[in-house]
Amino acid sequence: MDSAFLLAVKSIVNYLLNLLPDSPFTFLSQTSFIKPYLETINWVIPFSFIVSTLEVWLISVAGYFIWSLILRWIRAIE
Amino acid sequence: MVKKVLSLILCLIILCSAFTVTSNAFVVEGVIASSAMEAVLATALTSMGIVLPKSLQSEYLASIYASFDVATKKAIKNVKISTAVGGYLVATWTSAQWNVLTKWYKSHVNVKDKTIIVTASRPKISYAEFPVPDDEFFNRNYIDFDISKLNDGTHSVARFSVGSIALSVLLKVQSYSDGISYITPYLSTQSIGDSNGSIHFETQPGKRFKIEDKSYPLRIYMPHLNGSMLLLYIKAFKMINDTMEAENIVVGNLDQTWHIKSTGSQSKWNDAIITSDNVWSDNILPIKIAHRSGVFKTTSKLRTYDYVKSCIEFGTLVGLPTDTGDIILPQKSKSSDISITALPISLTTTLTPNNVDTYSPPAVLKPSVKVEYKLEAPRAALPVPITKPVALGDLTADLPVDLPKIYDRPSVGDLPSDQDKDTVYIPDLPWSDSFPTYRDDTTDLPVDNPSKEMVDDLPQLGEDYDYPIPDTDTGVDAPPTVGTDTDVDTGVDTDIDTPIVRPDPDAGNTGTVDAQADLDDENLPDYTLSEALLHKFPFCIPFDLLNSFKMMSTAGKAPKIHWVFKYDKINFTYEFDYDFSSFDQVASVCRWLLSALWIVTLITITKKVIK
Repeated sequence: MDSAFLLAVKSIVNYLLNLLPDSPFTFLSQTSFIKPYLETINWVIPFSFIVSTLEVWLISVAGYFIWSLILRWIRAIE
Repeated sequence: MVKKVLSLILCLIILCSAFTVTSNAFVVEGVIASSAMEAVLATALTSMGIVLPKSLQSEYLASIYASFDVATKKAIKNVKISTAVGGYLVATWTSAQWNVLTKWYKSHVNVKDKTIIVTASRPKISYAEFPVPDDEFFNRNYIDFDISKLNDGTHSVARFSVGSIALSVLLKVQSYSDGISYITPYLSTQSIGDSNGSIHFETQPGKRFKIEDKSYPLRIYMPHLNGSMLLLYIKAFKMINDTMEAENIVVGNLDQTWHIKSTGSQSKWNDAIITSDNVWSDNILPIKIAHRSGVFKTTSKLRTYDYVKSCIEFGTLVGLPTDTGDIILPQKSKSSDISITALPISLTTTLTPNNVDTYSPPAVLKPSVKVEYKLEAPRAALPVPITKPVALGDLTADLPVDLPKIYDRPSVGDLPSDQDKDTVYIPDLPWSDSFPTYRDDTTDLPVDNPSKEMVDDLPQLGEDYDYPIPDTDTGVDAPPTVGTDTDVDTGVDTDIDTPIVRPDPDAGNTGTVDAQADLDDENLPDYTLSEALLHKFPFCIPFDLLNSFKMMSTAGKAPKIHWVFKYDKINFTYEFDYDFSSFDQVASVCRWLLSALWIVTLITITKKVIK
C-alpha cells in the first residue's frame, strides 16, 4: 500500500516536474566557443577564487535564511 | 582617418624601436628591431601604394634605397672582416629582413651587367667622412666615433639606426685594422636619442689599428646601410661556410658542428656564442645574444636554412662571383692569409636586364631535415562510466549470479523483502544515446540487438513468465508477477524507479522480463527528484549560475600571440610572436585587485540580501 502511495506521489511529482520548462540557461555551460580563451581570461580574472567564495557565500546566506525561517516558525522572532 | 591610424601605428613602432635602442640592453637586438622594422614598413607600405607622411617618408625610404646603392656596395668592396665579426653578424641577423629586402629588390630593381640600378628616384645618400686617423690612432687599441657628425640635419641617424651605424662603422674600422679578430662595439647609453652618442671600438690586447689603404676614406653612409649589410652577410657567410681556424674560432662545414665563441676578454661585451650540433638537421641555429654586462640572458633562434637560402638567392640576384669571394681575412698574425671561396652554390640563372620577373631561384643547399610525426592523442573517447548511484553492491560481470542480488536505488522505494531474495533486480542502467551498449545478461558480452537476444533467451529461462502488460492509463509498466510487494491489481509498477526484473537462470525461479521497458527509454527515469530540479526552471537558476562560473574556472596562463602578416602581392610574409608571460607580475596584481573587489562586492550584496 505504501508502495502504491509512493508511486502515486512520484507520478504526481513527475507530472508537475514535466509541467516546468527545462532550464533555458544550458548555454551557459557551453564553453566550447570560449574555451581557447579561458586560460587567458583566468590569467587576469581569478575565476577559481570567485567560484569558491561564491559557493561559501551562497551556503552562508542560505543557512542564514533557513535559520531565520526556523526562528520564525518557533516564533522566536517576528 | 587611415592616415591617422597609420601615423599612430608608425609612431608606436618608432617608440618601440627607440625604446629598444635606447634601452641599450641588447644593441644587437636593436639592430634587428630597428632595421627589420623599417624594412618591413617601408616595403609593405610602399608596395601597397601608401604614401607615408613626409616626415617619415625620407627616413624609411632612404633606408631602403640606400640599401642598394651602388656606392654603398663599392664602399664595402674592400672591407675586410674578421671571422669573429663575421660569425657575429651572421648570428645576429634575422632571415626576415633578408626576405623583405630581396623581395623588394626583385620587384623594384633591374639588374644590368651586374650593376645595380635603382629605377625609382631615391633620396640623397648622406654620409659623413672622418679624417684619416693620425699616428696616435695606431698607438691605442680603441677608437671612438662621434655619431653626432652623422647627423646632417635631414636624417637623425641615432634615432633609428644607431645599431646599424655601429655595425657599419665596425666594418669600416676593420679596414683599418691589423688582424683584429675581436672588436667590441659599444654604444654610449647617454644621449643616443639626440645623436650625441659615440661609438666605441676596442681591439684585443696586443692588437692595434692599422690602415692598409689610406686612400680609402672612412666614409659612413647613412641613414642605413642595409644593402651593404646584405652583401656583407653573404660574404660573411661564405667565410663561415668554409673550414678555417682562427683564434678562438672553429668554423666547420655546413654539415658539421661549428662552434664560435669568444674569449671573454677585457671588453664590456661578451661576444656571441654559437654552439650547435647538427645545425642543418635541426634547421634551427640557436643563438645567444650577448648582453652588455656579459651575462647571456636571452636565446633566440634563427632559421638557418631560410637564411642561407635568402643569401643564395640574393647573391645570385646581384651576381656575386661564384668562384672566389672578394673578402680576404686579415689574419696576418697567422701563417698566411686565407682566401675565402664562395659558397658552394651553382648559379644557373643568367641575369639579364629586366628579367627579374622570370627569375627563378637556383638549386640551393638543402639540409637533410628529419621529419618526425608526433602521435596524436586518440580521439575516440571511452564511454562515460556509470556514475549514478544505482546499485549498492559492485557491478560486476557476475552480477546475476553472486550475492548481493538485490539492488535498488537507495533513495527510492522499498527494498525488496526477504521473500524476493531469489529475485534478481537488475539495476536500471542509464540509457545513453551516445553510447548505446547492449550486453548479454549472462555473458556480459555486447549484443547487437537486445530485443532479439531477449526473445531468444526467453524460452530457455522458463515458459511461465508472465510478460508485463503496459498500463495504458498510467503509462508505466505492469509489475512483475513474482514478489509479494507488488500490487497486481493496481497494474502499476510499485516503484517508479524499479528496475527491470529479470529471472535468475541459476535459481530457476520464474521472473518477469520487461522487454518493452528495456527498449522504451522514455520509461527509464533520468533523474532523481533532486536531479530533476536542477534542470527545471526556475529551480535551476542558482545552479546554472554557479555552473557557468565553474565552467569559466581553469588554470590561468599567459597568452602567446602569433601574428602572421601576409601580403601576397609581393609574396611577403612576416611572423610575429609575443609571449605575455613577461607581464605575469602585472596579471597577478590584477588578479589580487579583482579578488579584493569581489570580496567588497560580496560584502555589499550581503548587506542588501539579509536586510
